[in-house]
Amino acid sequence: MNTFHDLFRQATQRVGDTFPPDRRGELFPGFVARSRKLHLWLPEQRLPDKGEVLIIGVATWSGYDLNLLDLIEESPDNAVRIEVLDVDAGSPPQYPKGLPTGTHTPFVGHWVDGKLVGTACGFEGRALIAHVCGLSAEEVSIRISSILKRL
Amino acid sequence: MFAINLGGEGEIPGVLNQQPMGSAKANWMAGSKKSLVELIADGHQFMICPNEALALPNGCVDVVYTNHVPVDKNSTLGLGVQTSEVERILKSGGEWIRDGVPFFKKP
Repeated sequence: MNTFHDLFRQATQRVGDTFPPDRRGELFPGFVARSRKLHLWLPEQRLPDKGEVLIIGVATWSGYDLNLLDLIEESPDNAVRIEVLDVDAGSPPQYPKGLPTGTHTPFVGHWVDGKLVGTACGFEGRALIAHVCGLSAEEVSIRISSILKRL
Repeated sequence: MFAINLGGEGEIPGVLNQQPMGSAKANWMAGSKKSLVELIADGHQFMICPNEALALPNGCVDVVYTNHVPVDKNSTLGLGVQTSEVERILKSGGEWIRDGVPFFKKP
């Protein structure tokens, strides 16, 4: 398993006659550690005073969220530091102050020089990520519409 | 054939789409940024009920779809789809398609 899409498929990849237990939440930090661009947000972490930071809260059971992380990995390099977290990790989960929550993931916050300049969730969260990471809305839409066809 | 789509992002045309109780709130938006009223106007059919108590009798569904949802897990976004409920509502020979994959067939 190499991509976040592979992680999405972990629970639906048949092993013999059965399916494995869903270990996506447990495996998520390792995938982030192997990523070229993403950093795992830790609850005790502080936001830097300088520079641009995007924090993305994802659900490991959402193909939408995990494929978006693949798109970010494939996107052109820029100066934005991208931190990610599993919205279901921890009990209760601890999010950075200012990160919005909603009825759909991803939960997205955008900070510049320590100041929160944008927040969004779900559909609008994907749009904010696309904007900050230089992805086209069409690219995101095409990737998302093909998720379930790809095993 | 009676098919149902349990929660998650993206409604399936021609299938009964279930959403948990929170979707009945006025400010709820689907992943597509549409309200429940707008989705119904688009022709989608909905059943609003909790994941742990689907408002259907035993053995009445031919196909259950679940896409991009937690299963048997209490997520930050609410209680996920319950395997016990999927198995209860499926007919004998009925199938559960999970994230596009044939996942379970009821004996």
